Amino acid sequence: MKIIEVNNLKKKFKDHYVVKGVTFDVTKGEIFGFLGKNGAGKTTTMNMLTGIILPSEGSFTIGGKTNQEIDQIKRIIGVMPDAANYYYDFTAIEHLIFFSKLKNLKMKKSDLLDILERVGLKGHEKKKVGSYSFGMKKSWELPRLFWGSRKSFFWMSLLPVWIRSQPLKFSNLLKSCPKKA
Amino acid sequence: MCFAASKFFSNNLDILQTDHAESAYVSSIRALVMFLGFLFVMSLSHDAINREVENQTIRFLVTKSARSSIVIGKFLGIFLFWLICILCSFIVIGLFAKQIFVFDFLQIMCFIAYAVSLTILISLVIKKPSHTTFASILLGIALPVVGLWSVISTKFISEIIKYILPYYYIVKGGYYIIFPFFLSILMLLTALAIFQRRDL
Repeated sequence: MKIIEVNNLKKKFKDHYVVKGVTFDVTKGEIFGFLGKNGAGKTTTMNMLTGIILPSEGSFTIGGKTNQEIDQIKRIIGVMPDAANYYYDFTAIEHLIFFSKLKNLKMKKSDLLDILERVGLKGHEKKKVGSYSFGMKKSWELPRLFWGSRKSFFWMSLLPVWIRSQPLKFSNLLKSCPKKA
Repeated sequence: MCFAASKFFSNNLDILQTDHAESAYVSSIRALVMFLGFLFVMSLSHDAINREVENQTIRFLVTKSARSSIVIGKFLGIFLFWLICILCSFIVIGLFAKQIFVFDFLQIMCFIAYAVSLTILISLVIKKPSHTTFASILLGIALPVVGLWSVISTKFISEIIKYILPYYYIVKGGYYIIFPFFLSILMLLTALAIFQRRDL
C-alpha cells in the first residue's frame, strides 16, 4: 500500500524551476531517505509535501489525501520543519503544551515531562528555549514530530545532526513510538 | 489612562459630548479609541504575521494547522486582548457612572475589529516587519486625521474615503456601527485569500 505518492511535482520561482518534476512513492512501513546534492530541491520538495509552500505543477497524495486536501494531510503527518528560529520566550514545556494543543492532543503535564526526559531534556524544562544549545533545541522538537502522526513523518536536513550526536537516545525514542506510526 | 481621560473630559463636557454620547466618561473613551485606536493596535501588532514568516516560526504553525485557522487565530488573539482592555475600562466607568454602556461598548469594539483586520492585512501585504513598524506609526497618525477630515469635508475624494474608513459610521451612530465590523470581515477574507497563496 502506497502511503505517499508524488507525481511530476514542480516548483517555479519567477521563471526558474527549482524542482523540475519529482516523482516517487513510499509504501506503508518503509523508511524513505530523500537525498541529493546542495540546491537539488530536497527542502523545497519537502516544503511542498508539508504545506509550507505551494506546488507550481504536479500533484501528490499522502494517506489517500491529495494536495488539494492539504489541511487534512496536516492532521495525519508529523513534521519537524527546517526552521532557523523558535519562540525564544517560551520554555520547553510551554512549547510542548502549545504544539500539543495545535495538534488537538490532550496531554498531561506529567506526560510532557516524561517525553522531555526521554529526549534528554530533564531538568531543562523550565528554561527558555533561547538559552538552549543547538542540540538541545533539536531535542525538544523531536516529540512534536511524533505526536498525532498517524501516517507519515517528515523531518528536514538538520535531524541527522541530532541522530549522529545522540544515536542511542534517538533509537530509544523510535522504539517508544506508537506501532501504527 | 482611560480613567484619567474620563475625568478630564467629564470636567470639559462641551469638548466631546455629541448627540449619541450618554456620558462624558464614555465619550472620552470613544475619543481615545477614535484618535489613538489605530496607533495602539497597529504599533502593538503590526508584525503579527510577517515577523513569524521572517523568523520562519510560521512553519511550526502552518505544518499543523489550516492557514485559515492561523489568520483567524491571530485576529481573535489581538481582538480579545483589546476587548478585555476596553471591557475593564467600561467596568470602571460603569461603576462611577452607575450605568451600563452596552451600545457604546459595541461601537468601540466594531472600530477595534476594523483596526485589527487592517493591521493583519498590512502585516501580510508588507513582508518586512521593519517596514510595518514605520507604516503602523504613519497610518496610526494619518488614518484618524484623514478619517475625521473625510467626515466633515465635501470634496469628492472624501466621499469615497468616508465609506472605507470607520469614522463616518461611528459618527452616524445607531445601526451604522455594524458597518466597520462588516468591513473588518471583508479585510480578513482578503488577508485569508493572500495567505492561502503565499509561500512561507
